[in-house]
Amino acid sequence: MKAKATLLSLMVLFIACSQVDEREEAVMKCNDLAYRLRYSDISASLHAAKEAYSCSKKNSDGQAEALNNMAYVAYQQMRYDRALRLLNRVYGFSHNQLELLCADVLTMKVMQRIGNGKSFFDARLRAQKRLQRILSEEASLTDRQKHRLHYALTELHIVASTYYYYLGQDSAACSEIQEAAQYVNLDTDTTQWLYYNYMIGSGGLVTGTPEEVAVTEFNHLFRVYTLAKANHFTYFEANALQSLSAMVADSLRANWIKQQRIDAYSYLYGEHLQWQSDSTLSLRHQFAAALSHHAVALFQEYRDLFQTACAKRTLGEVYFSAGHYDEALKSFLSALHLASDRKRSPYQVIPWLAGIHENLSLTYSALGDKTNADSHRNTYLDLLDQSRQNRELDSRKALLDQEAHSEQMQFLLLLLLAVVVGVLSAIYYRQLGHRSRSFEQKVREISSSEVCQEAEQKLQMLLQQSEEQLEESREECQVMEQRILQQQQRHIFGSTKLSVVYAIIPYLDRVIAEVKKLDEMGENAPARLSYIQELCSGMMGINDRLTNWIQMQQGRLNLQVSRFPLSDVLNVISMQQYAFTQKQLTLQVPETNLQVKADKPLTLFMVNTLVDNARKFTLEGGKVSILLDSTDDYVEVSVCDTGIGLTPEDVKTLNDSKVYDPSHIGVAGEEKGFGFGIMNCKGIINSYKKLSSLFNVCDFGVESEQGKGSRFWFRLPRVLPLLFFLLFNLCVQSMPQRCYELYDSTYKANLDGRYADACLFSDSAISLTEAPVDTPLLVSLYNEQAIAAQALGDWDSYRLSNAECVRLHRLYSTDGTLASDCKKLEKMTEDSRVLYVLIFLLLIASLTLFYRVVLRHRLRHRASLDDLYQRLSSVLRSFPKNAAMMDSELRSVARSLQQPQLRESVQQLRQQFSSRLSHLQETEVAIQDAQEKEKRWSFEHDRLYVMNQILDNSLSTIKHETMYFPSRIKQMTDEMKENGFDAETSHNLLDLVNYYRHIYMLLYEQAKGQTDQAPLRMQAVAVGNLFAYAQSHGVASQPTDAWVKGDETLLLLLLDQMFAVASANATLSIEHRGSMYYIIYNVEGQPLSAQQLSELFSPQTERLEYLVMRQIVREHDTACGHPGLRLEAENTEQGYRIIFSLLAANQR
Amino acid sequence: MDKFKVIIVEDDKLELKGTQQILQTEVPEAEIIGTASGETDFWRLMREGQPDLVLLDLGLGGSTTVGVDICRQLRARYADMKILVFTGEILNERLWVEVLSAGADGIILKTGNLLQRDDIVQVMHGRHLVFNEPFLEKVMARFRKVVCKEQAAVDAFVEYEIDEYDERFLRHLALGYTKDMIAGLRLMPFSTKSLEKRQVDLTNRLFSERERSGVNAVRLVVRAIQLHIIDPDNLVADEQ
Repeated sequence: MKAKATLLSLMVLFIACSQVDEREEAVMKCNDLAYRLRYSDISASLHAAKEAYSCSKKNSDGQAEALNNMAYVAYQQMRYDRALRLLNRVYGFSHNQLELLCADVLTMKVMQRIGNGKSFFDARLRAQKRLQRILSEEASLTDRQKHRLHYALTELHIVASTYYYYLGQDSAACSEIQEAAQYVNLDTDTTQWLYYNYMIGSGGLVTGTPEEVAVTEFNHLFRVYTLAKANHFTYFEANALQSLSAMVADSLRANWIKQQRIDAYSYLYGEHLQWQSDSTLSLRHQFAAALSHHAVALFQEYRDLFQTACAKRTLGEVYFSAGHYDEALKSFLSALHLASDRKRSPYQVIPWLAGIHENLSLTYSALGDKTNADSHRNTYLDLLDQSRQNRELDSRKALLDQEAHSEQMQFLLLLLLAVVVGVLSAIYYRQLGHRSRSFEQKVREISSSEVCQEAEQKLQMLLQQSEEQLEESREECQVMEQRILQQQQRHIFGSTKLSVVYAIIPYLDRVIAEVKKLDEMGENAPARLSYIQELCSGMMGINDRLTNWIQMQQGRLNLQVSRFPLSDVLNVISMQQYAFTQKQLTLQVPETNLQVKADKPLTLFMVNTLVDNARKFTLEGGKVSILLDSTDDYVEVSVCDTGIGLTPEDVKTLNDSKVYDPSHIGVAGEEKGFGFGIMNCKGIINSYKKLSSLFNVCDFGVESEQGKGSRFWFRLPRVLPLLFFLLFNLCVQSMPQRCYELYDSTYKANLDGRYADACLFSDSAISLTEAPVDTPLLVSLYNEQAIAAQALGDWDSYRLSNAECVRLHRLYSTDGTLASDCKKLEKMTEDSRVLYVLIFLLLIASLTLFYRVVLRHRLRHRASLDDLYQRLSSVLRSFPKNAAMMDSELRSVARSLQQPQLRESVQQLRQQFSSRLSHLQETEVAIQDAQEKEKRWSFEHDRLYVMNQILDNSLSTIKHETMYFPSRIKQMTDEMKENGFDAETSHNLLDLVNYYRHIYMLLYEQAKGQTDQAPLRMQAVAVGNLFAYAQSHGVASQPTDAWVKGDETLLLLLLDQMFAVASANATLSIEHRGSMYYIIYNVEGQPLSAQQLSELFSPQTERLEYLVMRQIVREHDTACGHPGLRLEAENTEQGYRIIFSLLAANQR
Repeated sequence: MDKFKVIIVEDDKLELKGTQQILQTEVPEAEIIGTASGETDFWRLMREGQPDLVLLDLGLGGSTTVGVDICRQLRARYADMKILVFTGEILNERLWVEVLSAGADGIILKTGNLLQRDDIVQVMHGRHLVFNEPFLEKVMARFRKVVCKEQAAVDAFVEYEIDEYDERFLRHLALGYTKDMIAGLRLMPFSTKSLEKRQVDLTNRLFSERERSGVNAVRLVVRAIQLHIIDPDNLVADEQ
């Protein structure tokens, strides 16, 4: 080292005293020295370059070379900004293409390292252009210049190869490195030879079986190591060691090498015995760590920060694979610290940083530090995202290559164009006579022209699309119709059950009357008591049947639970503003992006009920506001008002009692009556809780202070939005609900630390998802899977999932930036543009001449025809934008024409389109109709659904709350029978029965409120349709053209009930009497017994179906204004028949 | 009271038993000559012997209105026969009106004290419109509502100082007349302009100061209906 420095100072002295020529030679020598020393002693190299710079003439080639050398040193020291500044100076003054080429290559190196793919390709393009020029004059170069050229060429290909290698494009990387092979030469330039061999050895560029690859790479590295060591090329020595270390850490590869190159392996092992420090490691790992340690030391000596960091990372990876996570963590952290020292450079080595963050994330999770692991994983994903721009540049690169190719074609093109112009002119001249006629022909045949066909195709496509859309909308409508149907059925079943509930009331009234009379007439007491007991048995019988029927349906899942943003519900609520302003009230609805898991229509119902109540009980000038409060588990929705408030007793009743009289709630003297709203809301919350433990957080409550206002609140389980999606700002549109839910589960499992579950969920979700439609979901799923695998320490599956995640992410992020690339392309190829412009000018000039001399007057005649043609084709071309006006446009064109033939052909064209156009419009109207219909039905469905839900809740409350009364009454009467009459017991009995009736009536009215709100959809119904339905169920019927008034859905349901009771050997017929039609359902078989007949349609009946029939007929009777519709059953000679009547209607 | 014959029409056996007990214990003069659970049964009984009183349930079997039909036919055939409706249809008010029009002598609801001796005695003595207390309570509630509404109309006229022109103006507005048309009415000696003034004046009277902004003719008329100043059931234009 000292010798070199002395040599250098001598040279400086020498330069100072020398003449101009000698001086130039000295600069050259300094530069050569700087070049030779760059891989062995970086500071000496810098020193030499600086000397060369200071001694060289201003703006000379020597100075450019010196700057290049200095920039190289800056690059090695990670001072990328300084390197670029230096290179810019070279670009600023130098005209030496060779030095500029070197500068380009160095720029590429810098850009490659900081992950700026765009500038990388810019520099590469420049370099390639320059190369072409230089190579064309290669013969005139001096030896030194040739040497420099070869250096630039190898460097160019090697850096490109590196770039592709990191991008994962192995084939491109291989072809680049093969290009480099022809320029390296061990004798003339040892450093470049080392560089080349190191590159091959460092991986990814050799093909063959894994074993062959490992051995070949090892050979290359070993060769580099020995040669570099002998020649003191510290940089390559260290690099080779680092790569060897990674190789040794891999047990499989290490074994292959041991088998085939035991000599070299043991030589290396022997050399590094002194470096081995950690005896807790296995021998192989000790060896690998020793190699890395050595590499680190060498790089530190050489003062290449980046490579030191790289070597430390390799060391960390060695520790990691040995399972020494603490040590690994230390190494990774110190590597990260070295590489991300921001003071040194504003540029970051992004791809490398991404890798080290991934290492850190893995290490932390291996150490069980979940927080740090997650935070590093997030950084890793962010960095990946930053470097994705590389993908965009791939397409751009392809374009640039194409451009280079096309330049070669320019000359040919020029020739070709000249020929074409000549030929065209000739042809044009010859055909001039036919032109006008042919144009006329063209207009006449426009209907078979390409433009027209295109327009027709578009029209066809539009028609097809809209037909498909219509089909789709109709299908959706049908689905909705089916759902409404289900709800209607549910509703009628509910109403039927309610009618059974009502059947108890007359019995209760009888009991009350009898109990009252017990007091008055003692001697009849035993008879009365046993009558009361009979009544109780009757009630219990009804109760039992009711319980059975209610339980029959409980197995079904009735709630429609889904995840939805709360804003969906709140937006509907804010539409009520007007009603509030009318009452001089303010309604405040917050904006939110909270999401909950619940039943959407029911949630809307609850908020609506609470807001309505608040409005009712708030005085003018008051305020009603909805507030949201959330924890990780639930969202609490509160409706607050500044209203009259409630007494503490009322609050207690509302919060604690299951059943209460809502007309007793409210401040005395003021307007009372809370309605059943609060009871219904509580019922809904309870049914959530019954559904699943997921809804354990659900709750409902009331807080209030008299005169100040109230707060009614309820809680629903909260779900988090998909975090990973936000991270990448990816927009997720439609996604299969199931996968979505599985993703949720995965995410939640990961959050809760149930990683094994998470793996399971994500596996099944991945198997359900179809790429590429759901790429974002897949990316997220693989990410979650990777996180789970990482946490479980399952490194293999981590690697698989992560690789898939990264691959898909790249795939998805590739976006079509082709348009902007084309623009850039135009800018860049100005040279060729000038040529094009010349060609065009030539063309235009000759055409103008041609036109002026020969064609002008004939052309003018043709112009009008041309104009017509253009008008027509523009009309056709602008289709379908002008679809609405197309017909009128064509008509106006036809009108403006003089020649009848032409006019006729335009008319023909018009006819060709008009019918299909109107069909298109009709279809669009139909689509709108269908969509509106679907919207309406969805609304009606929700309404019915909410009613049914509440009805079911109320029925279930009735069942729970009143079941026990009849047996209690019976018990008391038993006591009275035994102990004889006494006034107190009788009094208690009366109280009990009265209380029972009160509660019962209350609950009945709550439920009744729901059935009253669903009116029938009465219209004229063709009995033929009903009979056809019967036919499809195997029930014979006569043809009929009768029409009746009714709700078709319910009538079909009525038939269903009949078929359910008996459908074998049954026939349907119809009779007309007065204004009524009697529909007769004849069943052949066993006649019904007298008891069956008398109880068939009463609550004592055996089957619910009969009561449903009765309910449907009764509702029809009510809807028609009680004309006296009948439902009867009677025995016939062969069996029995059920008859029901309907009002006749006019044919629709 | 003399002895008389009864037919009970009732489809629920338990209830029938209760009704029979009531008659046996409280009205010993009654001789139950038959019970029917449906229309067919009933007409068969009628062929066997004619009763003096028919105790009629309305809803039988599958239909709610069978009783009404029976009542109508009975009345048509036997003008003097007593028909007392004894029904559990305590919510279906419309059915009551129907069966009274069909000729029933009274309605006893199956709630409260149920059927009492007194009810039977009155019917047998030829009284019409015999009702029990729960029925009368319901009728009274409705009656009270109507009377209160009428009173409210009177009060509104006084409180809001409505004169006959105000009423006529509002009534015709509700009927869709324009102010020009109203000004042309024989009994409205005003110009269109003064009618506009009257509308503003009415708005000021019917709405409090805070509510006034944005009140148009429709809103004004609706308010008048709410305050019972004009009766939507009785909207007729003046004769010209």
